Amino acid sequence: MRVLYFAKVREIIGLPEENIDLPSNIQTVEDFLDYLISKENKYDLALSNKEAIHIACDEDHVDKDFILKNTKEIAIFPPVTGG
Amino acid sequence: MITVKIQKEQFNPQKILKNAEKDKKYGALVSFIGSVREETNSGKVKKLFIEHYKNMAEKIIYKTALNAEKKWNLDYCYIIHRYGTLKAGESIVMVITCSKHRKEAYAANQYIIDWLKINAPFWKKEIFENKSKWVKQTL
Repeated sequence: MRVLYFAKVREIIGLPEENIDLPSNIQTVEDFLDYLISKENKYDLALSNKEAIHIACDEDHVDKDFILKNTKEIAIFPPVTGG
Repeated sequence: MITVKIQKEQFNPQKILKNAEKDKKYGALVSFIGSVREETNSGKVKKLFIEHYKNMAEKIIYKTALNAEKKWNLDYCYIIHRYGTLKAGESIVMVITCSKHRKEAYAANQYIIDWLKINAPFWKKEIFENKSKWVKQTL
């Protein structure tokens, strides 16, 4: 799965994107965030305040209970500030 | 007719407005421009960096325009949003909505900019003389 990071999340993780094979026990966005947080300190720093993290799957905003099964691209970012 | 543009380059609001005014079949035109403020609570802004998620931003803005067009029966809708590094005073976004009557054009314009602010994937970072700061979402 292609994983994209934006803004402050990108800065803390230190990458704009990466490819991550989804472990078989991961079903939802929430599971995936927990998986990243447990992986390395930088993910914990960037993502542990889950309230402040927004998610898009294949370019649509989704909730944390969204099932990732067919997702090709997930974007992880802070609340948007355009306009 | 809907036009959505996302670009790095500066745009000329007068030129865009003039172009929108060419078609006189509508009775009302409302135009909104959002610009880089020269000063915020954190101090004097040197530059504004805008990051975006290209494909999703295009998709969301177009969908928003389409919803507005349908809801308020718009004759014309033009949305332009910049990304990259902008200087204080430069325009960030422009929304033009045209309809037969002013109420629809006003309502649609506000709907578009409000919806864009909470949904379109853009992130602003204010750059000051000695520091920089990601902007917090305001609704």
